[in-house]
Amino acid sequence: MKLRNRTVYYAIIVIVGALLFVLSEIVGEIDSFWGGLGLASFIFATLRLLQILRWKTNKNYAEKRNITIHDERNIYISKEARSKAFNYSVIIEAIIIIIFTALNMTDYTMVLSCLFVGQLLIYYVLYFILRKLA
Amino acid sequence: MDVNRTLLSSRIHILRAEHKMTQKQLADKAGVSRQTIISIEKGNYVPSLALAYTISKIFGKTIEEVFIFED
Repeated sequence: MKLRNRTVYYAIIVIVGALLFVLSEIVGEIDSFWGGLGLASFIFATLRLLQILRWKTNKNYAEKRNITIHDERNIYISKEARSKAFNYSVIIEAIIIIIFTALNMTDYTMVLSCLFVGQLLIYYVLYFILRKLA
Repeated sequence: MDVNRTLLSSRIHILRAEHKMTQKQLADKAGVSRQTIISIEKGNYVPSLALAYTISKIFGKTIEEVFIFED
C-alpha cells in the first residue's frame, strides 16, 4: 500500500475508533465492548500515523525501515516462522482433537475438527495456486 | 532440498578487506541489513540469486568468483 493510502486508511481507523469510544463510554449508546475496541483501534492507528509522519520527515529512519522491511533475510525468517507456526498449530490441534474425542467432548471436537480441516483446505488451495504461479 | 542448508562459502570477507569495506558499507550498497551480510559471511544464510549478483557486482566479480557452492 502506498504511503498516502496508508495515511488515509489509518486516519479513518483513528476517526472510527474515537467515534466508537465516544458512543460507548461517553454517550453510552452502545455496548462497552465497542468502546474498548475503539480505544485500541485509536491507539494503534495513532501510533501508525506517527510512524508514517516520522517516515516522511526523517530520511535516515525511512532508509533504515526500508532496509528492514525489504531485507531478504528478514523476509525469509518471517516466512519460515509463519510456516513453522502453521505446522505446529496443526499438530497441536490434532493432539487436542484426539484428547477431546477420548474425553467424549463432542462439541469441542467438532469445532476444532472443522478448524483443522479448514486450515488444511486453505493450505492445499494456496499450494496449488502458488504452484501454478511459480 | 532446503536451499538454506546448502553448503555455501563465500569470499565476501576477503573481498571486503581488499576493498577496505566494512560490513555496514557493503550492506548499504547491497540494500540489505548488516545482519544479512554477517549471516552470508558465516555461511548461515544462502542469498538469493539477485542478492548474490548484486554483491558480486559491487566487487566487480562474477558470482562464481565470490560464492563457492559445495555439494
